[in-house]
Amino acid sequence: MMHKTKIYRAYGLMIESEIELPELIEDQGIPDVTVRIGTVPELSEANTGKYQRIRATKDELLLTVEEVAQYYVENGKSIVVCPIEPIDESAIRLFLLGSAFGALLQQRGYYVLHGSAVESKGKAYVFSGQSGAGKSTLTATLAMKGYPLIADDVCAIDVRPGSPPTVLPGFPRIKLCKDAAELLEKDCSAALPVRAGFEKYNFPVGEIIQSQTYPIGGIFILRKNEKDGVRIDPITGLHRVRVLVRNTYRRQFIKIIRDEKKLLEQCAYISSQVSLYRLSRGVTGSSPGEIAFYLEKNGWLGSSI
Amino acid sequence: MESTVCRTESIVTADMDGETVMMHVESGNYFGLGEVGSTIWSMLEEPIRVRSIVDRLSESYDVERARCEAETLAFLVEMSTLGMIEEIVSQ
Repeated sequence: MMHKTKIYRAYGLMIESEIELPELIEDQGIPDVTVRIGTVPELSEANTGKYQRIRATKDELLLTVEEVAQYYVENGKSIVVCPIEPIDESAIRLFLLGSAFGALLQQRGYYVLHGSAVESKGKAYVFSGQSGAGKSTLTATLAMKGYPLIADDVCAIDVRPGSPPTVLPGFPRIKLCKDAAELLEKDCSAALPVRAGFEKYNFPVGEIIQSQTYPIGGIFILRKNEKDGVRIDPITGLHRVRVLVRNTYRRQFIKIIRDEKKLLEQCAYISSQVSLYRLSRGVTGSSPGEIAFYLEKNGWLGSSI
Repeated sequence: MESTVCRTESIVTADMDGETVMMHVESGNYFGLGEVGSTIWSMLEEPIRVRSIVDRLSESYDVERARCEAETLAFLVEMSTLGMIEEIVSQ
């Protein structure tokens, strides 16, 4: 494993890491977060998930990913990674930058949505929905059309009563499966595979300004339906809260520590401040390019052509 | 009317635009309470007798006692069915 300690910046945080993280952008500064390789505690007294792979207390989370590594996330400030032989570096980074960072951001008090965001006219437009619904592919398409990526997959939102909810800047990579990459005519050999043997790749995407946060212009929940074409409907009432809770990143982390009240409060606040929409994409007439065109043409990204 | 009721452990609440949003943690069901519902819910912060709820509501709202009793009971029955409240059986 690469042991040269470097400092990176993501989610507005200075991250000092013993593990090399080519997905992140290097920076200099006093670390807010440290990532080390080492042994992890057992956390035998903590609450556990159904399959014993997650153990957690309010300030600590121990995640075991079989055949990859164990991750101990503490107090929103430190991550200790204990790799499992044989070492698969990309897989170790995949779960570090995903679940472990997600847990870290939750410990720091952010609401983390399972979704991706792009910027238009100073605001964040967020796309969420089930895995496979097309969030990252749509986001990559929009990024190629000139809407810079803010975050992919791990969408951290700063929720403070009295202020508009804002999205934190992530790191400039989008994870795409091989089919999506081919659709967008991206060269997989130029990307990092997310895990040995998996046909999913991490593509570099422009730049993300780390000193900026973005008030949310709208949240779109993607889903497929049987009709053709693209359809956007506002989500109203209690459905807004339900939909956000359902699309929370690694919701099971929150369930295990019984922090649902805070989750509900954050989702209720976001619902009251931000417009939520259901974006239904049909069998035909709704390729990522067609959806992107529809969003632009109909003024959903804060501007009209 | 003499029963004592209290909130169950399974409900979490949040305020949204002045409304109370509730989620039943196990079932994943969501509820919204209007003005009267929110008032009743706030009375349930500590275990309370049904009669006391009716007393307080009669004071706050210009409604006939008998009607207040009937509507409050119906409301509490529904909250109980939805797993929001339960009766405390006194020893």
